Amino acid sequence: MAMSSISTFIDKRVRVITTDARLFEGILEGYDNSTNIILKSCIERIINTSDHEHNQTIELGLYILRGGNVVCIGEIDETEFQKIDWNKLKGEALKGTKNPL
Amino acid sequence: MLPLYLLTSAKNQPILVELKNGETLNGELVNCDSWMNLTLNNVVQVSENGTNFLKLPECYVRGNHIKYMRLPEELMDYAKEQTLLNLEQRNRNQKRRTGGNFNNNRRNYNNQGNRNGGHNYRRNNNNNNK
Amino acid sequence: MDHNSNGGGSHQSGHTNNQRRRHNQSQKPDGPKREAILDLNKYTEKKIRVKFIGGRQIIGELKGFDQLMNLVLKNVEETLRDPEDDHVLTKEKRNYDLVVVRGPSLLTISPLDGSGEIENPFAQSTE
Repeated sequence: MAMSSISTFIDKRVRVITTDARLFEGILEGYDNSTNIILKSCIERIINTSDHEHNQTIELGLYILRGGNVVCIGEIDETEFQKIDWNKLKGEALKGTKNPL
Repeated sequence: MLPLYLLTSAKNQPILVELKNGETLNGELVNCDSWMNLTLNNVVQVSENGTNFLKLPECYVRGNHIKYMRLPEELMDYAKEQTLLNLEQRNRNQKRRTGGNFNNNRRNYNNQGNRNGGHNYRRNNNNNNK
Repeated sequence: MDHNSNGGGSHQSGHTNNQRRRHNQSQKPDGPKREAILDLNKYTEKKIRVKFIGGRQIIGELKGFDQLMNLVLKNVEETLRDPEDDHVLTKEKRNYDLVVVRGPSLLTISPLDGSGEIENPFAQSTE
């Protein structure tokens, strides 16, 4: 039951935050009941605080993220998303939510 | 597509594994199990700070300590193809098995017959006598 | 009568066999394995490097093991870490005679033979 909502994200572009405070985006190709997820055409976004540091997007390709590391998965609204200039965006780093093991 | 299915179809492919301690392992996937434990060949292990590089001929990794794995991009299509092929194969097997089922049913019927007073037994016996 | 029950028995066992096989097939058509993926036999009497969850690291000769991957190692040498920074290994060693390693606290196992420090092989690919 708990996994029923994740199924609506399948084949859609999602954003994932992991316990080590990283930001991934990719097409959700699959998942299992321990929330291990497959992300196709995965990218990682690095958003910096200061002006002289450039934000980065790193192309990563096909990824399997282990469930224990996934903090949240959210569907991306493409129309809203395109309004955002990711190079200009500034933001504080997220704090890690370290899971023992 | 289940993550572990995709992973099994990545056998003999180069993959990158990052562990929860930040170490990364680059190597060829030899095998994996349902706990995501892996065995890799020709591994380059990179320390958490990215300064030490260790070459290992093979390596076993605990699944529950994996953060993520990076697989070759084209693997997704390959894995999808494989699942389709497997599905076909299974369907074909199922057809063959329904044939087998018929046999099973007959056996059941025989057993029932046995319970119903050894009717079949007598018949079998007759056959044996012939 | 004996003959009869025998016959029934053999039929039944055949049936359950069939069922089991079918069950297996439907459960794991091409999925990951349930049995051990690492044959520790090939490492017996050989030196292996074992890393633990938590970051400790030892090298020792494999003497024995079990299904749960508990290991028995002999002539073990632990590579000590910098007390200031857990991630940094020092040159310091600590020796043990015989060690039992608990399977659940294992992180990685690799043979010592053929392993070694190398230069950055991704020199141009790392940004």
